[in-house]
Amino acid sequence: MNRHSLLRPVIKKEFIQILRDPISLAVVIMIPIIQLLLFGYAISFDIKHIPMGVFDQSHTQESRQLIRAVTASSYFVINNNTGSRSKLDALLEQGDIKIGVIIPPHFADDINARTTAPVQVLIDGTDSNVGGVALGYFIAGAQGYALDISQRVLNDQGAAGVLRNFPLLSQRLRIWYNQALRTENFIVPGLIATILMILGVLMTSQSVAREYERGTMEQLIVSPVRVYELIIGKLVPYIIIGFVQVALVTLIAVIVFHVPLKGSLLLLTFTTFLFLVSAMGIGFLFSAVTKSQQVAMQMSFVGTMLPSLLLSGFIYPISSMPLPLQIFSYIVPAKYFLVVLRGIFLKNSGVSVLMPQILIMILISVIVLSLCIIKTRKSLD
Amino acid sequence: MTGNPVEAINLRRLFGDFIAVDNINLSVRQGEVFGFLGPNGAGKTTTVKMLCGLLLPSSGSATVAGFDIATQPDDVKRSIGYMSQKFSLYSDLTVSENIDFFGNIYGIANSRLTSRKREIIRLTGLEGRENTITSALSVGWKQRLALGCSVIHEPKILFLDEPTAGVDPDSRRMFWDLIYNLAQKGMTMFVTTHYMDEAENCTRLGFIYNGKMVASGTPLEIKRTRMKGTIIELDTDAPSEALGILRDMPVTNEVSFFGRLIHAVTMAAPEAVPRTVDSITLSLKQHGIPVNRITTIPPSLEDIFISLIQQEDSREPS
Repeated sequence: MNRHSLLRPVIKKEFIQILRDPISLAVVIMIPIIQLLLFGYAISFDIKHIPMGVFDQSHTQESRQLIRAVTASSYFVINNNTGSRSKLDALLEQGDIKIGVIIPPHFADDINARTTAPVQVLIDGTDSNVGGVALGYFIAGAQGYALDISQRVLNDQGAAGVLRNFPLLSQRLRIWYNQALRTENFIVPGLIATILMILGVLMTSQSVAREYERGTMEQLIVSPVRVYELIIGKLVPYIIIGFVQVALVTLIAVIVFHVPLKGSLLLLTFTTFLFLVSAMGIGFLFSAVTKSQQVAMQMSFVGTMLPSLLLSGFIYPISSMPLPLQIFSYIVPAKYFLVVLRGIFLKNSGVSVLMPQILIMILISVIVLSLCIIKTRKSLD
Repeated sequence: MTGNPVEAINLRRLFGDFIAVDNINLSVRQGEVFGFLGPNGAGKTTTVKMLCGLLLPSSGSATVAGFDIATQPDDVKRSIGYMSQKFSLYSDLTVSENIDFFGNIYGIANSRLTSRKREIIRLTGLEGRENTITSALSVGWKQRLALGCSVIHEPKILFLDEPTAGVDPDSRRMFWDLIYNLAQKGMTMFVTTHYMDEAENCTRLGFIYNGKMVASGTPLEIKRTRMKGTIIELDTDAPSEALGILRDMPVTNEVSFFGRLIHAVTMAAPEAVPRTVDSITLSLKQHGIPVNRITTIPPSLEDIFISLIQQEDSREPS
């Protein structure tokens, strides 16, 4: 029998419902913006301005040169309230300083006598990451100072030329894609994927679970509407909202956070579409399984927030995770969209480079939508 | 194939080991209001879902509007209306938008929809409320609107699953007026309910218990054939004393309060019943208990179904 598609009435109804509640709609559109601004400013992986205390018992030109060499970069800020050893210890214990440097009284004498000049460095290891970085910065600064002294000594002995005959390694460092190593460039695309994942799943799961709770799902399934029309009809409006979110968030990334958007907008649109379909399909599936707004909401948070934050490679590189978690991360759509976003934003990656991610997102979408159809058909048993 | 709108033969549905519906035979005739009765969990909803093409039978077969439920579920869906207990409407849409939506998903062309909408509004008495948000309607109105939406495509058969649960008596009466109204126009009604007064008003009844059909027929047939004994109703100013006396009399089997009244069942043969009534009256007068009224009454469906359930349960161990 000839049959008209019943997709349109379902989409139209969904839109009327969405627009009837403009406050919720505004909230849904504002949330990613607020989250991006909040997290974008708050999350920083750069370790700068580490508080450093110096207990300088030498009080000489030499000791001050050492401190200057170490603090020339902006990695350390000096806390001057360190008149005694016990004061330094107290500051370290209170966490007011993360690194304490104790320069012995004979420091300058040792330097001038050209013997080894010991300097004690105390590091607060509670935050292993900051501690390790502080140590690295200190050693680099101190070695620079030592090298300066060696140079001066050789000069004094008229042997400057000797140094020139040493084979020195010349490093020509060049950082690609994110030349200034700005954290924002790394964080913001990751945030976009994570935020959209959570919201996408949440929005659709709530809308579908409401149909189950109010009994309208049953009414739809008894009607001639096919299950696939029902699923697509419910997803289309939310995919459109998703696109609005992506557009706004991208604008903020570029304008507020100055993240370069080097790649193709067309590719960004296409991959966003794939991502939204898979994320919202998952939301649909959650509510087809739980049939309750509340349970679906909890499932959405647990099922997307944690995996998207922790297992997508947003914060922690997947390659350094234990194998079982690495395997689990393969089903997290945000993982692929993250690679795609970082690629398009920072590297101008094209279709060929991103093909694996694109194919996997297509695969996830197909699997998720098939599960939705199966689950919805069975859902009234 | 028979011409009956609903015809089920040995319909059976298992969930694992559990037999939800056990070889049910059912036929519903054109234009009748068929009442499908049974306690919760008896298999009512499972049967309705199978007939609506939502659930496949494990064995047996059924036709609805002439279409096989197993092989032609799409045709079945187009020919039926379905209204569930929850009056599934979109509460954030207006009356008019709800009607439009259900009209659209049943594929009614827009030109036709306009006139159908007017008819539905008139039928349900919702004139002037077309643009009211559905959530602002009272329960009774919502329910009538739900009924209106479920017949927007003029189905041959309308399935109503406990449509009046939790609705006030006034609204229930108005709702049943609507059901008769539609039945008179030739629409076949398949109603599940547990209100016995509603059951009395059905053309025919089917009573399901533990997945089995234990009785079917018109309310009158069921009463005539299924009730053993005669009910004597007594109105007195001293019911407590009267109850004690009746319980001691050998002619009465079951004596119980029925509101302010007393119901006593006698197993006496029909021709002997007047004599029994006389003896009761005499006995009460001897004890100085005034009798305002004593009469035999037809059994209510509730009496019958309670006794049917007891018969089924006592048969169970075998």
